[in-house]
Amino acid sequence: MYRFLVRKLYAAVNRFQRTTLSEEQTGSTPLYRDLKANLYRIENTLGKSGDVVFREFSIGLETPMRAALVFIEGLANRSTINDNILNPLQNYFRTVPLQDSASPCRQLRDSVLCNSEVRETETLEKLLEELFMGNTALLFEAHSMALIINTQGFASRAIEEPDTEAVVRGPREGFTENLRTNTSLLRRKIRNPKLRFEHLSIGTITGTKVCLAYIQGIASPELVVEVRKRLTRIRIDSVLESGYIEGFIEDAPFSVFATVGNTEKPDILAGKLLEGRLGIIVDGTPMVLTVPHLFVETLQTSEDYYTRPFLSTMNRWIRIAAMIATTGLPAFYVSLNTFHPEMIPSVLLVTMAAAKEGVPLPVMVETLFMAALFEAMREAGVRLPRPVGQSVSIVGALVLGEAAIRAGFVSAPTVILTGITAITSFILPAMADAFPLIRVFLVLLAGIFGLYGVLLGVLIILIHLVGLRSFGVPYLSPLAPLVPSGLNDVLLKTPVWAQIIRPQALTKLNPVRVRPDIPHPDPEEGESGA
Amino acid sequence: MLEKGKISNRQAGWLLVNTILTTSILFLPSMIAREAKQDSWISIVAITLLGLLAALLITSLGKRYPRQSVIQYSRIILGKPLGTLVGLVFVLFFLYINSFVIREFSEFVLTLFLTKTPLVAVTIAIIFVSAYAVRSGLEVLARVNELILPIVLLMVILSLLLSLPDMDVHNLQPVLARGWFPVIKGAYPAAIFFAETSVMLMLIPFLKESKRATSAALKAVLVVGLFQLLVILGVTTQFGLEVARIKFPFLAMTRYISVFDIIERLEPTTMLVWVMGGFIKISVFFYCAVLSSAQLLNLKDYRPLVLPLAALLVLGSIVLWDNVLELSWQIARSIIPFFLSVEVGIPLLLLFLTRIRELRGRKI
Amino acid sequence: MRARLSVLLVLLSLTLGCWNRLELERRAIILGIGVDKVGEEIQLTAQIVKPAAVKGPGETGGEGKPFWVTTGTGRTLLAAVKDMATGSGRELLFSHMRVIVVGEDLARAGIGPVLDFFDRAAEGRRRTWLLVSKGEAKEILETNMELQKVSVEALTDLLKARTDHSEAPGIDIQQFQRFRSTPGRAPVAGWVYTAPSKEKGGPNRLHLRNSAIFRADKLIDYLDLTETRGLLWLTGQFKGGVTEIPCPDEDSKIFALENTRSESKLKVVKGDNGLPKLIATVFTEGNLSEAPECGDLTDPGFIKSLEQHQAEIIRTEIEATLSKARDLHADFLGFGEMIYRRFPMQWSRLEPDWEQTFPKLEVQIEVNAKIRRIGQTNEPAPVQSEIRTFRFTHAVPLAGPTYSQPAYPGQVIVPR
Repeated sequence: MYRFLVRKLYAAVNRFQRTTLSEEQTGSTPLYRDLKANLYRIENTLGKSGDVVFREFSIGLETPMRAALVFIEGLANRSTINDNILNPLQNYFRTVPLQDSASPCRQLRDSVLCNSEVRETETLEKLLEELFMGNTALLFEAHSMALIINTQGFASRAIEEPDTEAVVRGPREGFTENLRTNTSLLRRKIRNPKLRFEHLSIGTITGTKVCLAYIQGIASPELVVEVRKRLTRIRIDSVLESGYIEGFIEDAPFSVFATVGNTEKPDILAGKLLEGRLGIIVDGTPMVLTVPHLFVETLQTSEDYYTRPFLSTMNRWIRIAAMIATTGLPAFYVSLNTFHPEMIPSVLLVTMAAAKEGVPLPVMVETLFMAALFEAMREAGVRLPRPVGQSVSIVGALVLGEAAIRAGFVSAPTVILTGITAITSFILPAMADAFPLIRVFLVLLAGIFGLYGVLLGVLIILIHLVGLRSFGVPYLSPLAPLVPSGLNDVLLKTPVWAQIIRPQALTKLNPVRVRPDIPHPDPEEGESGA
Repeated sequence: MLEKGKISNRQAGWLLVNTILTTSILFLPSMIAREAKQDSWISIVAITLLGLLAALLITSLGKRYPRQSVIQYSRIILGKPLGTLVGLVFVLFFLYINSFVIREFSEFVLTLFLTKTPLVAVTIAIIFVSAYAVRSGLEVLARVNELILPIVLLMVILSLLLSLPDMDVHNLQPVLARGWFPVIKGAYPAAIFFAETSVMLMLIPFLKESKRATSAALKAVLVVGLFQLLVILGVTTQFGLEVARIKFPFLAMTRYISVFDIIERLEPTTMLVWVMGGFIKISVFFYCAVLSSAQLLNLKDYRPLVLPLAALLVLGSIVLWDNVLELSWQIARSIIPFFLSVEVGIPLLLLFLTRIRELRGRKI
Repeated sequence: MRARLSVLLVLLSLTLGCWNRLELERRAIILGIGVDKVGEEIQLTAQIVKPAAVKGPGETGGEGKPFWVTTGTGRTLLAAVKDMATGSGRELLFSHMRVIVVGEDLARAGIGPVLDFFDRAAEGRRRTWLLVSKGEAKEILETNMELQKVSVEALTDLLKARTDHSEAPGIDIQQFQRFRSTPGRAPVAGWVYTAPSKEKGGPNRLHLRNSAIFRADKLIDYLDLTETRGLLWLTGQFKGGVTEIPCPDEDSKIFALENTRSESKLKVVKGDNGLPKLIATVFTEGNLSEAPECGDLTDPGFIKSLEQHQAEIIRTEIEATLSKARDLHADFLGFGEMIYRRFPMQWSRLEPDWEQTFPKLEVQIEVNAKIRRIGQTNEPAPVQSEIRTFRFTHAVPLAGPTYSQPAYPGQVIVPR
């Protein structure tokens, strides 16, 4: 059935194929020799756009050659153009004659221009592409070769701490929207020649630059090949965010669980690369994709690795408990309330029955309604401007809950339960899109079959999780299949000096991280001076 | 091969543990106590030994044909027509025992928790989940079991520990007062549980190290025996001679737990044990049924068979027995010879013939 | 095709409705029941919680009693249950039931069917207390005490506190059923009755005192306080409680001892007359709570004599129980069970005539009583201070409190 629908979809798409996707920027139209013609063509191709600047000038005093600069205002740095291009061009040739006017490019590039990066091009498409990157094109009269000079200088956001991944201990730097800045942040963490960046351009209209990062010698070669294959296979008109790419390369598009991870912080990305994963950095967004992504990663934060192991272990357990609570608690409550009151302690039962008197809705509907209300409030809290948003979510929760109870709309246990569910769901933001669905699924099952239904629902989810793979790696490694060497980072967080082996599920290369024969220093030995 | 997955020996052992243990914990104590009274635990010890023998028999047969399941090599041993017949017997056996277990499972849920729900609903629910698991393959099944079994075992141990204050060791006395015969009689119903090791006949081809299959099966039987012993000891010391009267002593024990007036009402633990464990057991037998049918019919992939066999199971489990009493009668009496002959008798015969072939020097 | 079918199945099960599901407010939570025999029928009295009237922790309380007593009658218990259910219109929830009170009449006729009903039910909990009431159980359930609004709660509190007084055994369904299935044993249950309140015009009070003895499942008699105490001593259930020891010299003065612990061991050995002989060893310890002017409490020898005296008293109580057991031909002490465990062959011979044979058994009682602590003070009365003669001048009696007038009413002045 699914295949049938997909075939129909493809057929419909194919009818539009000719007009949209075929606008690939792979053409190679040569430049004219005539300067004016070139400029005219450039201006027309860009639609007489107001932000394109043409600066014509002459080079040389004795036999002046007409030349022109083309750049896009806002993308190119004017002072670089002034100081490093125009200044030398105008001044140098006062004293030195223009040699070899048959190809001025070489002389200019070798001796005159003071930019750190100067390239040549002969095609219009490349020239335009470079213009869009913020570089300047230098065209000459009677030459079909243009120089591309690096003058990038667009405004971009400074490096700041990301809101979504705030930490108490650890670096505060986060990725920005600029690909080059991001790669530089990563380079600073891993100062090793084995760190490889492979650049691609995805998106036929947007031409977004995408960079595949990995550490050669740690990342499994088959994995690199597979990821590269999936990336180059993408045929889409625009890539505005890494989410677009995620949708194309992920293993299970219909699962609620993400098989591709993301992060905004370079230290987290570096950590993941060192475990054998690959990073996909997309220009225009600070969210970097990490591949493969396993279930246990949602339980791990960077602080676990920087703080002491006991606290980290306790935090892990809190997260696991939170995960179980936020998905299972509403269903458990509904099933016990309506199907198995014998499992509730007597005193609590009487209180719950008292609270439920006069409330119109069945418990299952009540719970779902409150869950929906909570999601709505959360979304509203995100959209509102910051000062107002905070007060709305807190005030909203308290006042609405209290008012709803007083109005006899919902019962008090349901409100407190929804509150607990909400709080525990904030502990694991990575799974924020999976939780509501699982919750509703389990509540529905609880409403039909009681605890039996909840258990069956949990089994269904387990079966699904166990069968899921992320780029060939089983999703629930190292729990299932059981890989004992990897268990030191799941339920417990063993100290740094005990994390001897890299996760075997991800890569078999270069397994040893820490030299096991030089352990943590003996307390007695560490006495000062002794 | 129809199944591309491979499971490790440990995973296979755990599958076996779960398959045998979860139903036997709930049903066996009462059945054995009817005959053996307070010496039920001795019956368990006896039956564990027999179980070890059965495991030995089954795995030594399976190891001789490492890449094939019983359906396939019975054709080699007995020739095509007879071998196909044996294969058919196995298919029917797996289907029948699965219907039986499903019915048991549903009756348990209905008697104790969902009293007014129709049988069909509960049955379809569990078969649906089971079919999903079977369709996902053996590896998925083994991995889910890896996750579930520790929790199940933990719950059992927890229930036993929390019931300690209510146990009275003297309830085990007098030991062997009525001699050995009641003990043996009590062990009779337990036999089919331990002979469920025969699922290994279908699983051995998928083990990573089929040479070590015997040790995996033996360890599994020992673990089952140990837990079963603990449970029977716990139940007998708590209820004394009443064990024969109560249908689900483990559940009654769990319900009676009351520590400091706070830790009470722990039925969810028993329900968890039963639903999770029962699910694995049903899925394993379902898988065996599907795989053996596919091999019998020489299909390339067993997956198309899942849904039809599921429907068959639903039908069978509802229609074959009118009420719970027929079920318990069969499991305690009439069905035992039939099951034993399939689970133990046929492998014995096959092993015997295989040895003859080996001795004659013919190519296996 | 496959996907369509499975989606259909799922949707079907969703729409068919939920059969066992019942909202909480449609359930009547039963806290305790009383079963009586009225004529040929069974009368079931249930105490049901009224959640709306229950004072929640943060809410303003409701009016009136938070519980409701209702009855139903029928030839069988199930019929009575259904009859009662029609009165409330809600589905009855038995799984939170804490006490079953059986009326005397029904107990005499046999409580087997009642127990069987609850044992068999899906919601049956074996930790429900079982009590036999003098007269009608209905009366018991309708009594409410001052501290607890709900009489079942009062009963539960009494049962939980029974270890402080040791006036009745606390038996739940689990233990009772076990008694019935134990070879030779006569089941025992606690006894409850109402008495007028001590305050004028106050409500009736519930007393949990004495024990009910059964043969199979029929009530035959009850043990009074002394005999019940003996039963509790022998079964090791005597925890807290008062033992009054008269002063060796003057009977009117009584020491009050509060027991803290007791243990009992029953041993079976071969007896002289071909029957087994039972040796019962009871050990108890306690603290002295109240001491009259009698003897010297600082003298360990005196304490020892007190202990022996205490042992005598306990022995008397136990003897009373044994004689009652012999009279009733009811082995409620578990002797048969002991013999079964130790000498199963002999037991199988003794079992058929057990009720006749049982009184002939020789029982040897050994009591070991200890007094551990005597409290904060030594002597009961203030010590007369001596008039010390000093070296210098005349010894003058100190002007101070005279010891001829009582310092407080009721004080007994004992001249030195």
